[in-house]
Amino acid sequence: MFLKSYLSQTESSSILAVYRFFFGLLMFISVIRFWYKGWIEELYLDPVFHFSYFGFEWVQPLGVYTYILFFICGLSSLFICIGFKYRLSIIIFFFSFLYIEMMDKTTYLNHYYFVSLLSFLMIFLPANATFSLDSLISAKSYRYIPKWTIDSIKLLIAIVYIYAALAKLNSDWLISAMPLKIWLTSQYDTPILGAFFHEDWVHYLMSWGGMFYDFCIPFLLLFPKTRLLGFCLVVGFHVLTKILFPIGMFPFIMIFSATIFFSATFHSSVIYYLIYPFQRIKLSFLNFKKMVTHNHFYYSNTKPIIYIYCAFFFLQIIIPFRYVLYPGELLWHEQGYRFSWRVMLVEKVGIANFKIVNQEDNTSFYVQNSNFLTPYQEKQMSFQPDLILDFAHFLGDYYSLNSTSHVQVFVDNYVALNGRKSQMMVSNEVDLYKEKKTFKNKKWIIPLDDDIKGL
Amino acid sequence: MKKIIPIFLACFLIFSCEPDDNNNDVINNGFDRQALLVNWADNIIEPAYNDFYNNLEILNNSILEFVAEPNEIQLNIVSDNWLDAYKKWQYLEMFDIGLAEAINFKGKINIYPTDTDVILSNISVGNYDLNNNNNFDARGFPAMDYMIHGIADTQDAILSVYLNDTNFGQYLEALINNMLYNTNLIIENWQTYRFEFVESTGNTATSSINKVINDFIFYFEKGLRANKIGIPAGVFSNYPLPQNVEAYFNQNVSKELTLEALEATKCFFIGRHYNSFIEGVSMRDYLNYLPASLESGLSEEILSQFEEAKNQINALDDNFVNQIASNNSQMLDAYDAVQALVVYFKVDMLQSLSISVDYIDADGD
Repeated sequence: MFLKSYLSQTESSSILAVYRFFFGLLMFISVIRFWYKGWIEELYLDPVFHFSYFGFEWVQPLGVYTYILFFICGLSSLFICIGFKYRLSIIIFFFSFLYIEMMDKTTYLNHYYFVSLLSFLMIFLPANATFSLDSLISAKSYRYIPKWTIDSIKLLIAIVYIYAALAKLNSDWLISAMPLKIWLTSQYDTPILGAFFHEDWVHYLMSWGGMFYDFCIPFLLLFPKTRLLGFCLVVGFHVLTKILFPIGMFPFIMIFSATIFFSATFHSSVIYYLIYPFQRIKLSFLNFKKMVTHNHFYYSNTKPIIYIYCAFFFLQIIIPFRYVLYPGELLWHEQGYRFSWRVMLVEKVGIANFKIVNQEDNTSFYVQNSNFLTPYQEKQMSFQPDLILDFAHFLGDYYSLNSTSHVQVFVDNYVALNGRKSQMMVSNEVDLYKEKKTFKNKKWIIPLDDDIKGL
Repeated sequence: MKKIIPIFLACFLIFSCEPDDNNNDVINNGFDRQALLVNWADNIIEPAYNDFYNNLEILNNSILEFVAEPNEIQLNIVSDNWLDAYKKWQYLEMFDIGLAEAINFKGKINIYPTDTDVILSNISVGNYDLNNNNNFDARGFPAMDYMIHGIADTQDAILSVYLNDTNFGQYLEALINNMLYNTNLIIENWQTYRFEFVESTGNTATSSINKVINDFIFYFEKGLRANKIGIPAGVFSNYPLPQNVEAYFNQNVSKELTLEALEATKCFFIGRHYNSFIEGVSMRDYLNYLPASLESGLSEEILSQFEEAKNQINALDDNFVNQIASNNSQMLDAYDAVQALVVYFKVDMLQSLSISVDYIDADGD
């Protein structure tokens, strides 16, 4: 009964329309920025080897056509922005973006994951119901859309913040103020603030503050009375992180995301200001029909979408907890680490040197990682066990080709986590070429020689 | 609600000021990074360059005398001076900064194994530009090593080569001239670059501290660990490559040079003034100041590992070629001891420093 009445509640269509506009714009800028910085070449074309997601080894960069992939992704985000062929555009955007992200897990970032999820949700939303080219062309616009469509995005954002807060409930973050202690101390050259960044109390203030911030933000944004405060905090926090850390577009995406919580009047006025400069331009040459404004947008069939959303959010809630299936220290072995909003939790540095052993004549040699990996790939690989395994298999295949006998692949791997002394992570006694890639617990990871308490 | 937009914009403008590159207010920051740079610049790098240049000049004089009148005594003097200068070089190779980086200084002085075919063809053609990077493996100390130790089997035979063909003497002179020329360029440039160097105290990919430390680690891993020990011992190949030892033609000094290089890196680590026992502000002090490495006692561990590595190398034959032939596993033990230092530098130290690495340009989250 409650569900039925909830599903029939409505909200101004301007909210999703403005959200769509800025989402498309930000994505468009992101793609341009990525292209402009030469990262397409650097991250996807230069490397001879890519770290694929388990089961998705077929997702590989497409050679020079990778540029076309990015072009399609950029174009579709532009179309999303102006609301042209919205449904088709967002579907193309979702798949092209997902494909890009899955080409190499070296570049996994939580905010890319967030964009993938958000664009998936947006496939089913009437974000072009007003303030869009689609509605101009079809001469149809809607004043109201179902409220749950907007709430679904709010829920996704709340999940991101709350899980990010939960992830901070551990002894490294709260008791040792790690890794912020390391990172802040190294930011001594920040104007004004830099002089305080070596102070202990600053490390603890920022660690605890960050944790409470993540917990509070969804609630502050939810209630009208605290919304402005919440939003100022969002802006302040993310701009600070932007100054301190190389996190690219993430702060802007999070700031923009928070605007979904604002009221319809806010969004209507945004539209007003956005359209204002264009109002004098006569669009008559486009031969528009007279705009018909309907009151309510109705889905022809809501049920399947509701089911999809329920499944989606169910997964979102349980996926971050999958780490409990693995024994040992999550931050160390990283099994179940991705897709869980564990943002900025670890400072990890590693080194991994691979030894190829030819069993026939019992000779061996060490591989120069730089022959196969870019510096960025090598850095990321050296502290993530699943990447180490992937690379070991690649090396095993590579050196088996030129050898009549079976080769073995061993690794000398040392990793330091959150200010601890380095220790061996992947055992140097295990032939990694024999170890299968699976989701099962990786027994060849030597446990962390310390306890991290907490979630 | 319309009020929010201007507030939003205001917030944005206030916070969107980007940080300046560096600011000098390092003193109240707990650690005086500029003092660190000044110590490196004035007490380590500059004196090392000057001393190196002096040694090159001594070497040059003996070469001139030798070429004018090739004889056994003078050849031995050249050889001694070559070794002295080569040892001084071990104190410089790690500083791949400023003009040294721009002109590929280390590539002009110490690329080995040297290519004897290129050297011989240069000599017979008589038309060569040693400053051109085509000659990267036909110049510097390794080429000179070949010219004074390896061009014939015996010393008498070497002397007769120089007596019979003056082109060989010319090549020897060209080698030392090229080294003098490039060293002089850097010393001159250092007079102005020094000020830029000590001002750049920030934590950016190109700031002095980060560049020097990145170069130090790179040198330690590549120039010292791999080139001097690992590659000849066959760590990166199926079989040992003894022909790749440093100073291959005068094999008796491969250990001496390696020990000198290790000593040079240790002196740099503890900030010891060049050719002195005074210790200034150093990487060790920096590590003892930073929270992660202070807690783990990293600098002490590094120092004791330096001792361990030194002992392991000391136990080797003076001549690494002999050592590889007689007992390569001992060579590999020495390699492991040096490799343990690489782990300290690349993992523990880099974690603690959290410095921006120059070769990586990508977002994090």
